Parts: sequence; structure tokens; C-alpha cells
Amino acid sequence: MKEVGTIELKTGLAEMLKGGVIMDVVTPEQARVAEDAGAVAVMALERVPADIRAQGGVARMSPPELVSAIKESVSIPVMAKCRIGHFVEAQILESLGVDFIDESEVLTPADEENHIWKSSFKTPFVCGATSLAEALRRIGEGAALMRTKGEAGTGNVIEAVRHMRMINRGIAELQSLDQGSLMSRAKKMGAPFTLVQYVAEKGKLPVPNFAAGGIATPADAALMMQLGAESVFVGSGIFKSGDPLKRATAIVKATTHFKDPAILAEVSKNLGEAMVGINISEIPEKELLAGRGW
Amino acid sequence: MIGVLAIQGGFAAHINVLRRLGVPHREVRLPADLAGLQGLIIPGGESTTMLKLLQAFDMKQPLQEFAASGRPILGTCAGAILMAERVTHPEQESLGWIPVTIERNAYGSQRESFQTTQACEAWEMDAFPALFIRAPRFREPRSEVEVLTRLDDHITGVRYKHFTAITYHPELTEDDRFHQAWLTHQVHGAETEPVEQVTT
Repeated sequence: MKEVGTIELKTGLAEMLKGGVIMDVVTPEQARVAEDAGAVAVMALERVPADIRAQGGVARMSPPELVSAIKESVSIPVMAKCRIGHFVEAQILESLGVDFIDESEVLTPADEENHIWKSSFKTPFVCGATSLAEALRRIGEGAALMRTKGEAGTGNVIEAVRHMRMINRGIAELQSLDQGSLMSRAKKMGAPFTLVQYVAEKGKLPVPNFAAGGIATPADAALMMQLGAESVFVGSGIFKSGDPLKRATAIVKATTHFKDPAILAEVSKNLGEAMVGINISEIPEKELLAGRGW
Repeated sequence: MIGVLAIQGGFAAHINVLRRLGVPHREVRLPADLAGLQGLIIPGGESTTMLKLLQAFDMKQPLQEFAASGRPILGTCAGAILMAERVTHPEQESLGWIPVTIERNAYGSQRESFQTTQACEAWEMDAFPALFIRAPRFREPRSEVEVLTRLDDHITGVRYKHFTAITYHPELTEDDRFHQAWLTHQVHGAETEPVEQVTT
């Protein structure tokens, strides 16, 4: 008997992506550069977050022909983003055979109340979170992989750091509680009780947890890994830099050897210009992406 | 002491199994980490990424020397791809230890990934759970390669000298029998002696 689309198969693929770098790409050529640099997967997009931010307007799922062309061009897994709550975009991405769907705050949300019911798909989903409670709500809906939201398209890692620390702190707090306090804590968090129980007992999320949003340098990637991320997503940071292949290769090396400062120093040399970056305080509040979704 | 290649991929899941079995283990990222190991596990993940990092950090030669020393090596999924002599879909280089061809992503993309059970007569194991995730498939083994497991007419597990390679993931389940059997038959060698002696 063969079973497909089980949560074990979904989180299993996330396990295989650990210790790796997932790179945003907008063309098949960029996808091949990412693969050559050692990416474990690519995220097929119409525009990287920095351009979405700059150009404004409604950001939607990538055109199917672009997703297919990128899928044809590489042998590594291909991910693609759909809007929060837009389950039809997700159905289309599944029919195209993408390996992971990112229900992403980087695109304009389609539903301000509901996220996608992810358990009904065979394709695994990754979702962003800014806190433990938010992560557990997404896992409750069937997400097989979590990532920090960070603040995409800024080249500024501060929000990703904040979100990773929030999740770590939330886990440590649950572990310190006695069993009798968990129900009331679950109520206060607005998170599924059984998942709160799981985290309190095991001291970790039930799915892998990666970092995303504002990672622009090898040191940023290693910082997120040392804070407990199990892999990193790099969006605008690579193809908005002076020498994408070199920078991408360096970030891949830094993610594997994240605890070795001598290697981090070596791979950080002569990378050319990093993306310019934006201070979060200079972004009008209504243009912040991390507040999308709940 | 068993090493788990931790350059990228599913190394944490293998380490969890070894921990449950009470086997001392170590993550292997650089050549020095291979010293003193009795066996090595190469996990699943992305074989292209692993190859590039093995190359970049001068790990290929030390791994070839480790293999030549006759110490047992187990590869799962991407690990099996690295160990096979010839890789197709697309063609890529490998460490070339097992005289067999392996086809990457032979069952399709993640949508087609599946879980089922496998049985291994050589190691006297009946149905154990196996996850096939964007799995490869063995083809055209030379006659000296022993087939360990099959799925219908596909070869899913092989053994050749001190090399064992499977296209699926027993480490993603709670059933540790496959690793136990590998330790018993390949690492320790003597089928009647307990695994604990491996670890001293």
C-alpha cells in the first residue's frame, strides 16, 4: 500500500532541506545560478520582495509559465508563493507540481480572516510567523515547515532576529509551566492546545523552523543558524547584490559552517556590494509586511 | 563512534535514531571529524549541494580514504546518489563506490512522494516503514551488488562490500530496525553479537 500527502512526507521534505539555503529567483537563468551556488531549493517568483516593495500594487502568485520554466531548468526542489488565504492559487501551484508552497505575507493577502486549510493539500506548505502562537496556528492548519517572517526586501535582519527570539522565548516559557497551566496558556495564546502541549513537552516545534526576511550576508545566515534556525531563505539579498553567484556560494558555505568563525571570515571576503538595505523605522507602518496574517 | 555527514540534509533525523539506539555519534563537516569513526552515514538532502560543499572544503579525498579503509558506510536517498558509480537525470559526478546506476527524482516531484513498507530478507526483517521523498531509483546493478530491498520491480536497497545504500528514509519514522540491522550486520560484522559492542 502506498500513501501520499501525509504530514510525515511533508515534514520529511523539510528535514531534507535542513542546513541549506533556499533562494528567491525570478528567471530560469537565476535558478541555475542558485543551483550552481549550492542552493537546496529555489523559490520561483515574478518579482523579488525588494521590487514588490519598491513598485507597490497588488502582488500575486507567479505566472504558471514562469513557475514551469524554472522547474524545467533545475533538478533541486522548486517552491512558489501564493497569497495568504488564496487557496485557488495554491491549487494551481499544486497542479504545476511545485514541491513546496509558501503562503506568504510578501504577496498581498487575499483573505483577512482565514489562512489556507493546508491539511487538504498533498503539497507541503511553509508559512511565516512572528511568534510561537502564530507558528502553532499555522501548524494547526497543516503547515509542514515554519519560517520567521522577518521584513522581506529590506536587507535588514533585525526583524528575523526578533521573530526567532520570540519563538525561542515562547518555547522556553511553555517548558517552564506545569501541566495544569497549559490550557489557560493555550487560551491566552490563541493556539491549539495539543500543539501547546507538544511544545511544552518536547521543547521544540513539531515541524522544522527556518529563517527568512532580510538576510543579506553570510554572517546574517550564520547568525540565524546560531539562533536556532535549521536553514535559511534568502530573497532579495542575492540577486540584488553586486556578484550574485559569489554571494550565494558564500551564504551556502556559511550556513553549513555556521559555528566556525574562521570559515565565516574566509567566505565573507571580497563579495562585492551587498544590497543597500532599508532601516525598518524608515518604512511607513502600513507598508510593513510582517503584520500581514495573524 | 558513528559519524553522520552534516554538510546538509537529513542528518538530524539519523542522529535521533542513533541517540535512541544509544550509539555514540558525531556530526561530520570537516576532514578532522572523520578521525576515529567506525562507520559513517550519508543522509538524504540535495546531492548537488553536498557535492559542491564536499569539493569546497576538501572533503572528497578524506572521504575516499575513509571508504578505502573498509569502514562501513550507509547512504540514504541523496547519500545513495553520492555512493553510486553512475548518476542520471541529470548526469552528475559522484563518489563512485557502488557499481550501480541511480536515476534522480525517479518518481516525480514532491506531490508523487509516498510512504509504504519494505522488507529485507538478507537481514531477516519483515515490513518496516519507508518514506520515499523525491526518491531516486537504482538501475543496472553489476552482478556483485546484492539487492537488499525492492518495491515492485524497482531496486530500492543495495549492499556492496562495506557499502549499503537505500533510496528511502527509515530514519524519518520511529521504527529503528533498519539502523539496528545495519549496525549489527555491517558495522559490527558478526551477526550474533550485540550492537553495544560496536560503540565501545
